[in-house]
Amino acid sequence: MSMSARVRRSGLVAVAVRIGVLLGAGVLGWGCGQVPATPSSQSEVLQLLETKGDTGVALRAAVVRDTVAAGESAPVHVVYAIANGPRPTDFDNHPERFRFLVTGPDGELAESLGGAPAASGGMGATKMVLPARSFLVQRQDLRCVNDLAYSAVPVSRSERMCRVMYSLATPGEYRVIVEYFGPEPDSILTAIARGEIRDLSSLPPTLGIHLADTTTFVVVGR
Amino acid sequence: MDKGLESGERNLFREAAAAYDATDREVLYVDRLDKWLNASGANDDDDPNTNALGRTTDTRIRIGDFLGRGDVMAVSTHEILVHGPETWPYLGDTYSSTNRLNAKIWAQLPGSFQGTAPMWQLKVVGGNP
Repeated sequence: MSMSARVRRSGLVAVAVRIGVLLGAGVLGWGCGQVPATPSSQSEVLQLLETKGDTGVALRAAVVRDTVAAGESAPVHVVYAIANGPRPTDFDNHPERFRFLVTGPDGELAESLGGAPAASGGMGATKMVLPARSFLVQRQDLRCVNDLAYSAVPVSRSERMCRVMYSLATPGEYRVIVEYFGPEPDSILTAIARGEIRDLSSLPPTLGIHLADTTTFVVVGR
Repeated sequence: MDKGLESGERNLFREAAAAYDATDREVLYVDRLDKWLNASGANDDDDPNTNALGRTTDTRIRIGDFLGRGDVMAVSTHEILVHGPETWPYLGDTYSSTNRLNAKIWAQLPGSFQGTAPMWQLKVVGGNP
């Protein structure tokens, strides 16, 4: 069981930006007052921070590079941001709550290695309070979706312990769909634990929030 | 009908016992720092909020040997019912259905076992009810 709420984080990068205050590690290489190393779709990434979560949390996604060469091995980073609204908000950043789906030029799920197109990232302090008007920005490399929580499990021969690898070998437009599935409300879990709700089949499939966003990039032939 | 359950209500511990009888996985009690149980480093500190209590892989089910009997009962039930049907990758812990099942495991723990399941209580319902 991987129910631990706080474990080591590596591949997943967390940067929380609040007006002029950098709350997290700047592993993305940028934060307030710093300029990123000229990614080709820099403006799209920066536009994530223009998101206004007026009523609650919102999810936005962008790619760091909008054009990728087929067969190259350089990372294909997807940057995704949770934008909080005007009030502090409890948020569970457990990596398994995020899901990445990639569709290829034919519109079908893109070929991947290592199993289902799963959630990603080593787990850090996953349960947190997002400050009002803050952003939690993270990234994932589609060429090596990794997760330190499983790093001791020999599931891949890759030295990078990729949990999922997208080959991105076929030229054309790819679409990334990033989803977030929130936890069940505490009130429901408490009612179940107290025996006040006994028939779980009477509940809808989920009562947690579901957020999603999408972005695209192009793979070109060499 | 099982004592304390409504007609037709699942007896999770009965289901778990049957699943353990049927599984080919080896079941082990392991130290908190076992490299598989602690694969994420969750048990490197003494924070009970973050400890990993059990871990299922394709060939084994590991249960922490540092748990009280109520926690053992809850964790072992979770492992076989949630992860028993899975193979890698194991993703079930964050599903809504798992959250609910975990809470129901707590609800079905006999009172005498709830007192020895503080870790489960903490993780599943945050120390409540």
